[in-house]
Amino acid sequence: MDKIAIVGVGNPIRSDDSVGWHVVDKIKESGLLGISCLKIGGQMSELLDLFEKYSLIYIIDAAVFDKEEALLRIDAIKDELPYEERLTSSHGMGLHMALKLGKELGVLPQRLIIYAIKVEDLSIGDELSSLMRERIDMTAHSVLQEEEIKRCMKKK
Amino acid sequence: MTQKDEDKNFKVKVGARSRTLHVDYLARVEGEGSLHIQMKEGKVESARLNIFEPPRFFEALLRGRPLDDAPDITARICGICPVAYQMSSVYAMERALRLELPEYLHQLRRLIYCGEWIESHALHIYMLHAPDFYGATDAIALAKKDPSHIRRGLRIKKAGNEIIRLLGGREVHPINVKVGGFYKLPKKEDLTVLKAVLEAAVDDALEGLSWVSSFTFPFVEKKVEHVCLRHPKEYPMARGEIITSSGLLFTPEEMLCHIREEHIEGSTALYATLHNKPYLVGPIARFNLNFDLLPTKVHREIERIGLHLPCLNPYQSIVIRSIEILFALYEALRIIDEYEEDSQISSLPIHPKEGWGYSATEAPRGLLYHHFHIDENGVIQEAKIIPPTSQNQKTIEEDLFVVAQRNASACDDTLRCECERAIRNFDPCISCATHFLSLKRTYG
Repeated sequence: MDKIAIVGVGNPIRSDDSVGWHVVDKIKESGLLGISCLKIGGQMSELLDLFEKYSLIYIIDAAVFDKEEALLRIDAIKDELPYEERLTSSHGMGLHMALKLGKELGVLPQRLIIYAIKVEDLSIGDELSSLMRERIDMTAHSVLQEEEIKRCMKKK
Repeated sequence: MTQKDEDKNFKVKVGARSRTLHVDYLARVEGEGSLHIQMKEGKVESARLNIFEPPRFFEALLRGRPLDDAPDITARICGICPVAYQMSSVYAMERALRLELPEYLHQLRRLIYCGEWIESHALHIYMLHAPDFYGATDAIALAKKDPSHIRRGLRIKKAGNEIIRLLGGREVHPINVKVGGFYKLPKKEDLTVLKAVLEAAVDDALEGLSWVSSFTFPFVEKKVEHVCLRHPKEYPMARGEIITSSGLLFTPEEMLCHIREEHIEGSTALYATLHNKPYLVGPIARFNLNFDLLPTKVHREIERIGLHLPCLNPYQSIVIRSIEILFALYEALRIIDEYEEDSQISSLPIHPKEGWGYSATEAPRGLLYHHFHIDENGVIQEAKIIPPTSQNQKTIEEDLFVVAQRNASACDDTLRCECERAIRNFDPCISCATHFLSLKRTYG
């Protein structure tokens, strides 16, 4: 059976950069069985550790990009992560590097789906900007519609 | 970076007699910054490392907060050296409160600091710096050539992260450090498990040291004032007074009598000088001024690899960091062996009182200074943080000037690469220097 993780990446005192963590909190309210729901800072070594432990990973992260959509879904194993649309990270080496290094070292998971949420404010602070509440709900809903996740929902 | 990315980031304007090299994005440096070299008629006119991230707000964020928020907030300044910020902040607060910790708590703090030195140095050596000496453009290319080195680096980094996880509650932005001690002490049985991980990492560290000391280094002898902590009994991490290679000795309380920060146009970091001159903090300064305090088994390794003292070559900082990884592993094992779990309290009680507290600790990249003023209710009224990278900035630019001049007739690609190498010798953490990271790159 696949080991599955839903991972929010972010920094809680950089305003919208914490949106991934809020999405994970929202998802946990739904009640999932057998899925790890994690919140991390997004450092390359943290990500490489996750790649080795889980066969299917959903990463949810703040992003800055020029498209009109507020949310992008990227299959990071099949598709090259677009450089211009690389996810924000609090550190120089984050997801982009982890993916490339993971590929070279042969430690990528079987599937890696990234939900990139367009954010507005990345300044120092612990409040989300007004648009984020709607985007949190939208992203959580999208993740919960993934086939593998729906199978793990608790029966009410 | 791909060729496409490099084309976007690297602009050259060449006039009849002038040449400007401007790199918008520095490869493989923590955070983001840019490099600007201006030349005319084959001579370098200026060399600037520009930090164009938002200015530091963390000092302002701390004002008005209770004193025990300081370690958690300052830990967020940097994801690679959060422990350093926590250590500097808790020691400063404890001095403000006139709190004297028992020795076992100092030793446990030293243990978590060992973890950070190990993981930060390993990250820099293997992912950022070694590619320069291995003919690889980045760690990915190094992994393609020989993945065993990257795997070794990741194992060593993981060993450091394990120390931080056990002592700090998690690997990144630890949550177990507090003013007065820790929230929870480690169990001896957990330390015994950690010990096995660290012993295996020693073998990796020895192999890594042999590897880096086999690199070919450009011959450079850089004479600059070294500044670091000095303790009577231990290779410095979190305690001691501040010494300089010219013989100055002062306390953290006296730091601002000797070191001044100024803002330079075009950068959002503050430049620090020691009596109006550039100076160097970091592993080379620590090593040269505290060599005698390294254990005998580390001295043996230094002799084996043929490293001469003092080490004045910035390119050999990769060797010094490797030595410090080995030292930190041995030191961590010593602390674990000497730790006694019985009847220890995890922290001293705090009784807020008005006061000023000053501290300087040795982050992996060098001296990190904090001072705070707290009121009678324990609320922070003033905070000042001087990170190591802003202290090194003038020295880095001096090196850039020399490197650019030495490569003035080289092609643009070579010039750019050599300048970036010169910066990477210092392992600058630009995110620390401005307490924030620029998160979006735009290309004109």
